Amino acid sequence: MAHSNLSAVEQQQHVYESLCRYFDEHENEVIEIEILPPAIKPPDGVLMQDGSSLGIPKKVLALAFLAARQAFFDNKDNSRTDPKALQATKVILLFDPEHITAANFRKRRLLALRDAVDMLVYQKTLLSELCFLDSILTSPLHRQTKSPTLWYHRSWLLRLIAPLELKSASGKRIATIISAALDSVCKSGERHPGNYYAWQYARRLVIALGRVAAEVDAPFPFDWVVSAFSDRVCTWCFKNPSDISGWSFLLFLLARLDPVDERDEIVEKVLQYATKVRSKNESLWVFVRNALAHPTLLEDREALIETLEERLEDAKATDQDSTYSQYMKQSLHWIPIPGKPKSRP
Amino acid sequence: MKVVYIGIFNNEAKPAVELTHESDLSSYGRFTRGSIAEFLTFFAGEVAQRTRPGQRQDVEEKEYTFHAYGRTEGVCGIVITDDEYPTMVAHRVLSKIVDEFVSKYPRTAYTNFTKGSPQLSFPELKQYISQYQDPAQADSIVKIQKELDETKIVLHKTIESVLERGEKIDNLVAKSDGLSAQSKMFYTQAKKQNSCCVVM
Repeated sequence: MAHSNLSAVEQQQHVYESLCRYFDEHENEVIEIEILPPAIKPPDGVLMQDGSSLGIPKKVLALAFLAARQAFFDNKDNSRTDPKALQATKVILLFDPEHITAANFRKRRLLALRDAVDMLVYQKTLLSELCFLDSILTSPLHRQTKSPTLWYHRSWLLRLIAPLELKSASGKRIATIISAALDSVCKSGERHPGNYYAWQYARRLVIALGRVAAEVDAPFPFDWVVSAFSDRVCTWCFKNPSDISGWSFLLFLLARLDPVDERDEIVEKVLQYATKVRSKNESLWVFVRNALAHPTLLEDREALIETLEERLEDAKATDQDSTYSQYMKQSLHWIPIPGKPKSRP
Repeated sequence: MKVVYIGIFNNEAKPAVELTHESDLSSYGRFTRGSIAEFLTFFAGEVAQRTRPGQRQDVEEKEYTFHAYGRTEGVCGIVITDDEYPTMVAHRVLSKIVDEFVSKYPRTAYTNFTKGSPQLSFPELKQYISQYQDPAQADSIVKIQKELDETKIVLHKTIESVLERGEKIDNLVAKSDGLSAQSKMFYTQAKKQNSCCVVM
């Protein structure tokens, strides 16, 4: 009995160390982590690795978690520079992304670095923290990609990174960080459809950028960012047309898009797309009817409503009972049209 | 919205033989995509085998839709997409690739094709699977044949419904020599996740 208990602990320790080693070797990259089904067994019984791709069986991850948890609680009160507990939090968060104690421990360690002397180490550590978060949030991990704890952690992290970058970095580098943030949201949104937390993170980002633009002395191209985001998200929505979260975020962006006629251009683009594919996606039509129903969002709302009416007429000519026609009909019925009282059904 | 596979089968042969194909499995994990590729080819073959000349059908299975188009030349085109991809677009792409294939290869090129033979060259497939990830791109496909009639496409809600009476998918999987032992285990263990946010 005692012997088998010992080898269980040894086993946990062995897999934990293998996983830590892999994390250390790829600290400054975004890696792709996959939880392997039981049918796919690593030759060494622990991990499958191929460059920045990692495959780990669920059972192995659970064992590593047990060792990590032990290591964390044994070492968390050591000195601020002791790496053991910090190392353990990576494995803990991979298995249980909502482990707020582990996440907050990482936050406190980053704050300690900020208050220490070496700015370069601090900056480097912030960026590798971003890599770690993105590794979990954009991997093909169904549950982890929708972690409110980790998405919040990413917001918190960007708030630390922002003052450093705004002070010293080129506009190009700031643009890269902002663009990479949206890329992470889009990728995560594909991994987990209807990813409320990812898209909520994106909203927080845009609102924060708006605040920065208002406060900062040097001009910050907020309008350009919103415009670039709108194009990118519109393309994403065309690729994931049944994802309401993407369309909702596009609507959110539309309200902040300047100049106003760009908003009309986007709605026109969406209508063209809907016609081309004869869209049956309810989420797309939620976007369209909400954009058209808003009294002050668009520059020329009436023109777009007319476009929709024309499209409906075209569709009726070929197939009036199609789902596509129905959606258009229902949207027009739902939108309060200026000058026309809504007829009672 | 994804196209994961496009391919052509000789479906006069029983079982149907894959003549050429291209797949895009970039959205799957590095270590499971091999097994997924095997399954797509396997199920595509099963659908192709049960598609008659002149027939078009759509077979839904889990998160995939297998779009099939059988020809009198003894071949069947298969396009596998997710359930978001518009059916009519998938069939337009099917028409295109099958037309091009039969123009390129006479019957003699594939009549005696066996499973082990090297696949017939059709390099354009690589470009098509990339291009038609965006269904709006299919607009450029000129309709040289008569308009596709959507009502003529037979829809099946599972692969099992195209099988003969008494045939079971699990048995076909177990008997198949096109699937590795690992993939067969992968299939029997794959459970449909009913709850949204559970760690595997």
